[in-house]
Amino acid sequence: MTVLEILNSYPGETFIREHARAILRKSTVELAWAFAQTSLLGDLPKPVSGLSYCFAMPNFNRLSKSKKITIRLRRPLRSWHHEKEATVLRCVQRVKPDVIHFQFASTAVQWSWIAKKLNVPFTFSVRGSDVQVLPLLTKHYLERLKKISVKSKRIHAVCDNLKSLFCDLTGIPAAKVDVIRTVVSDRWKAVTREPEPNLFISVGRLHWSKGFPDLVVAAKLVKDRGGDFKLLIIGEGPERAHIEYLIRDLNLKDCVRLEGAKSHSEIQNYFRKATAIVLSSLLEGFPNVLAEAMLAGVPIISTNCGGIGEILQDKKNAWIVQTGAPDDLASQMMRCLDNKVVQERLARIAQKQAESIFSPEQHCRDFLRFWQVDKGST
Amino acid sequence: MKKTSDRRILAILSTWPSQQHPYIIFLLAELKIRFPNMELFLFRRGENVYADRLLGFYKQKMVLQNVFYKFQVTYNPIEYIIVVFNILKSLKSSIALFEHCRDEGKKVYQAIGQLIYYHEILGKNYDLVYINALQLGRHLCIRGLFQNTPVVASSRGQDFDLDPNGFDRVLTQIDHLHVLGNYLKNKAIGRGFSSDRITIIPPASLPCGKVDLKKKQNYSKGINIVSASRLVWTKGYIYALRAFKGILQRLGDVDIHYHIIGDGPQKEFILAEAHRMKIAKKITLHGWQTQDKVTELVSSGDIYLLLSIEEGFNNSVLQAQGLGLPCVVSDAGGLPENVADGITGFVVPRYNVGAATDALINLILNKNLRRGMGLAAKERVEDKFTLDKQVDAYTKMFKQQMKLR
Repeated sequence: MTVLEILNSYPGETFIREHARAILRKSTVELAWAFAQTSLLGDLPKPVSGLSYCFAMPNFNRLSKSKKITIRLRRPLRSWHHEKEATVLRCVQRVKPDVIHFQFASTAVQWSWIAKKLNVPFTFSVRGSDVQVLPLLTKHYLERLKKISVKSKRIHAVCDNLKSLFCDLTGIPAAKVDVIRTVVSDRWKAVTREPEPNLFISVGRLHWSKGFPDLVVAAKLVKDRGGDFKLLIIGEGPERAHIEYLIRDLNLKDCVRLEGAKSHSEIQNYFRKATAIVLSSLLEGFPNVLAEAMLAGVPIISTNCGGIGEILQDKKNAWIVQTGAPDDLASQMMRCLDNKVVQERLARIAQKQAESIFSPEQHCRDFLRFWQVDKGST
Repeated sequence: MKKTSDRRILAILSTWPSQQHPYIIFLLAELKIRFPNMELFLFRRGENVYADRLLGFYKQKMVLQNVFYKFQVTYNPIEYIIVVFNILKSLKSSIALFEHCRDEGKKVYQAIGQLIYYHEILGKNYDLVYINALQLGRHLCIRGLFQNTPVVASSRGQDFDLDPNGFDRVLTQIDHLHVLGNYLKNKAIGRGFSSDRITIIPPASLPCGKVDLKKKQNYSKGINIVSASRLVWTKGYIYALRAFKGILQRLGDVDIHYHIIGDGPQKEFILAEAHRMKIAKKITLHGWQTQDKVTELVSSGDIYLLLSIEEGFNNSVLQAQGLGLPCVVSDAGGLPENVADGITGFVVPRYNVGAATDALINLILNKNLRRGMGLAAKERVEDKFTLDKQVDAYTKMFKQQMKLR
């Protein structure tokens, strides 16, 4: 069986690369990747070894003029609309997919016409902002999402919270939506913990959905209450100026630092040293960084948004606080500084749970069932 | 000695007329009347239709009599011929600018860039140069372009706050600094700029023009809270939404509605947060509106709310006070100078949602307080922040600077 997965930007997000590795390692399914939001054309180097194809689908909004002219010159008498459609279909047809899987609902909304033209069943993933934010922004998006949800073979959600939100939005029966958890690489398990005293870290794109302003305000409250700590924020994004300003304005230069974007091996090093990871998100599906932190055995302080509460429970395997409440976050950070034994115990419980929840075997099994692949191919 | 009306002034702006900054439209038009020889240098072309509506066709035309534009890359070869012609025509000034740029440590292509971008004003003699925002000064080689001409620049907020060290070079090149309030003055002094070279001129409440203030919007019958600004992180909507949620939680089933007027990158955040907090039905996003429409929408409200975390002075709060609305604002930047705490509204500590909620509830539950503060706000604005006073102060500052040289 051949599955063509359509992603957004090259070389694909880490969690999608891990997903592909899990599928390719544990099954005989052929996996091909197409990228929908690039200014590139043609075959691309494979980000995951074992992919049968890896190419860019021409996104005509992003292509340069010269590339458009090259495509146009092939059949000058044909209408531009038909030529665009034919160029995209030509790329996809050579894969001969049995199923097309769109890695984001927004990608499916834009490109599901391919599946219709090729008469191939399609599935898609619901991951977060595509059902949490986009339906609020544009009128037609929700209508189109409803239409493609009816036409799709099955739908994948990364957590129960997103599943119920999606079903409420589109009116699709819950039986059509499968919850399959994300997969985390085993290398996070190999992190040897040597925590430094009072070092908090927070990892994520500097985007409003991650709620970093709350984290910085919480840091100020901890400092005012006499807490002695360091907070390192790892990531890059459009909110950088905002967070930098807050750090200056709240006079936290000595204890809060923006580290910028870091590679995975560098983040593993931060995980090794951290007393705890703090997540102040306002809007999430299930954040991958929490899955990685769980597997690495890092104690977690997090807000209870999206699907986080489905896996992490307060005082059972993490410290969970109300979303958008810097005061609560500060109190938990203070408690964490005072209870080192408890936090390491919670982290060990979370680590054990993560091994089974985010395992590649489980992920592969679930996805093969989702695509309704014969058992013999596993 | 030249008469005031004969003085040649060059005003450098990013764009005129700009829909985002209507206050500059009125200010420039008035200054042009006082200084008919004032010329404009614009970084971008403006939306002339917009100024037509606010000022009228003839007044708008009058301001745009002598306008130069920053060079834009084009396919038209004639434009490049004009550039070369202008550079050669004022060869002495061009060489001086080039050498000055090199002395400042700029690379050769940067120095040539200065010649090309500003070719229209090369070799022109002015009695005064006015730079409308410090940010613009960073693009210019000020002393290379205007060797001995007095240069006045305005600090309008965001400059010292967002990039504390970024304006030190500009401050060394200008003769005089105009700021909107004491907050910005102290920031400039903190950067080593001498206090006797700083003039405070607060912004003015804009004229309402043809707006019918008695015409009420189709708002809910209860209390309507209004905010009007660009939807950017500096405006602190994260705290405004939480304060609004706090009111709804504490007052229960009271008819309160929150109107947000404006557009910007935080729209996505506001929509998503309102949904997450389950207060979306109580919030209306009006999007970007014309100045007249904003005046109508704000004047129909009962309380004005702005919990900014960074602010220079803020024109919209001033405008709301001029329309008789009590304001609840944060203590960011110049807002404590803008709103008289306890008289025309409440100034609460920034990042403190609880204090903002308390102040809002105080106003919601007390109709007399709302009315009293609204009247006081209107009186104060009509007394202190009028366009005439602002233009007089500008004229005085310009005259002083021209006399000094």
